[in-house]
Amino acid sequence: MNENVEEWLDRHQIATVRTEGASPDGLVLGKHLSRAKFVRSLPLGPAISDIAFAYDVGGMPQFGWWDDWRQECLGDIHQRPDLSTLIASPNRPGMASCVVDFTDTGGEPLAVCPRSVLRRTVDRLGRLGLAARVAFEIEGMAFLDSYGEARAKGFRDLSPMGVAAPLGYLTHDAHRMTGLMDETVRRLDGMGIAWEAWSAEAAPGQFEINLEPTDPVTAADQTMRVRQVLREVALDLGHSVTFMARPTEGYGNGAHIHHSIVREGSAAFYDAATPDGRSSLMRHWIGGLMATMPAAHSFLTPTVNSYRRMVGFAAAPLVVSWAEENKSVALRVISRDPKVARVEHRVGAGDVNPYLALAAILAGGIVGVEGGIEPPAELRVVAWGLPERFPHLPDSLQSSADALEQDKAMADVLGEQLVHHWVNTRRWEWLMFNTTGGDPTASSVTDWELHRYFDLV
Amino acid sequence: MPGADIVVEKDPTPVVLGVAGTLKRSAANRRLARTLGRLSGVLALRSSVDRQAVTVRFRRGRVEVGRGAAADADLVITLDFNNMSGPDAPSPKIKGAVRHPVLALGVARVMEPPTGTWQQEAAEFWAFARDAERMPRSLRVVCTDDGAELDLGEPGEPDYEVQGSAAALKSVFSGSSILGEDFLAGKIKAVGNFEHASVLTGRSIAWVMGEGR
Repeated sequence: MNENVEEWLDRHQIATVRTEGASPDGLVLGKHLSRAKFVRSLPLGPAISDIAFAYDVGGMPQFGWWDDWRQECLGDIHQRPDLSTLIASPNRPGMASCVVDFTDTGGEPLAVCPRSVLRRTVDRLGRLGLAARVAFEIEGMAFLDSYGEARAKGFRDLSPMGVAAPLGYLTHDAHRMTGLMDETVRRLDGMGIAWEAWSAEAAPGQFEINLEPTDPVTAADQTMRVRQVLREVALDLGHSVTFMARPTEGYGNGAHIHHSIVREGSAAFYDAATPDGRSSLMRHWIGGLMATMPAAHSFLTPTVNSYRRMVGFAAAPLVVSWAEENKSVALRVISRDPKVARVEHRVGAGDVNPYLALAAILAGGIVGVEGGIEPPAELRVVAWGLPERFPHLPDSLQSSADALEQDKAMADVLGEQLVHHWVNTRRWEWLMFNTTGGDPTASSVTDWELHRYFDLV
Repeated sequence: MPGADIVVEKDPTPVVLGVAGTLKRSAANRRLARTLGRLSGVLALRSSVDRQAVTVRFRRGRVEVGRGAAADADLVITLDFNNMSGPDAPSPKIKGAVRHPVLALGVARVMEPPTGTWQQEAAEFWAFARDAERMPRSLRVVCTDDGAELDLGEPGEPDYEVQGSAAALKSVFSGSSILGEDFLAGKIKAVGNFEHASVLTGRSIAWVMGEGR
């Protein structure tokens, strides 16, 4: 294996390899390694301190709970490279990057490593004889201001890279972003990341990139990498990009996750023999997603800012709901044709960790299939502005964490250690917001959120 | 609970929980419970350093605690929630006490329920926290003022040791401050590993927020 790696490094004239792995908060952690060190470190990969997984987004060590993966007086964890993800940088000659899984010093995947959690979930799906195909929609907002300028302004009153009107798809709006987006897709092409389309979205400076469907781990890897490329292109061009769920008063950033299920190479969501085209597997899948949605919500809306997007008529779903071809519900189901039969999970905020968000969704589907859960009735109305009798999604970090903590079926699939750690990190985030300068009575984005999340999530 | 029913808003903030916890301690005290049963009026507590605020509505025995500073507050107290009782705690600023002296006097009592010695407070905290997952089996508390020691939990060499002045120990074990914060700020010293520091801090946070009261 190492010989093959060395041949690959020779062929691409690589002198430096950057490791890239997502923390639970979705921050991309890694090291720049000399070629020699990278090769020498295989297969375990370079070591980093385990405190890297125990800092919050603000850099504060998280206190209050403990898990088996942590060492009592701080120690190392490893970044084990997945060599199938080794790619040469299209813009930094001599540099390659490689996605990693986080392991303990013995090489066992950490129970809280997001990529490993997703892998485990995919494996469990595989044991049912099923495989998923996944495509992320990546939304963000671009500003003419550099990151430094944005910070100096307190991330307020920035100049969006687009028209002020809340209109989507405008090509002349998109033209204002071509410097950023042309270079982004050029790099994506160079990295072998298959993108389908990009467009200007409704909020000023908002864009959306659609990736081609692929297997779940690759889809999450690519989402992490696309965001990284966008941040780096913005940095290189003197602009700024954020994936905060709602950095301004305009429409928020979502992370819609399209997925379908394949069994023995065939579209398993579709059944031509049923009047609606939905297979029993699809029904159970939807049933599971519905039953676990309050718990999954914690992974799909992970920050204080995620909840700013969850207001009426702002395009984000607010109730636990599903329906055929309805973009106001949580699960937009498409079952008219085997080629397009899929579920678009529309709950995710722009600031999700793609690995954990996807793992939570697949876990919900697995719970439904394993339990044969039938979905409730389809919601055939507009899902915004509904009265309280409709089952609303949790509306705060705390209530989402509570819902996840109570859902034993989700913990069974995702792992109790992951759920324990995640629930505590969300409660910690809530504590930090409330006690370090956030305003719990604010109805719009606060300075605390902007300073904490703008250039990190 | 005699004399007072403490009602907390849905999805409360940490400071709401903390204030509610203090009021529950008062409600558990027969004399203060009687005070709570008589009090009427609206109290707003505002942080002098950040955006934290609490409104307490006293309704002669029913006490409602919620976030934010209500515009109709009779009494407004501005204070540092993170440093309410230490020797360096800034004096709170009070508005409305002249117009509402009974409320002001009552609030002064119920917001500062009596505490015991640092040893009594440490023992109470230990009774609350000891059964939590991953807690140290034993805790030694050392007062640096006079060298007095208190061993809690299983006998033998302690898993974890906390040292501090009597005031610092009383503050952390009575639930006026958080162990991890005081540790990082140098107000207390500790001997032990991060696991126990973290779990003890978790219990300390819960104690500050009124759990177990």
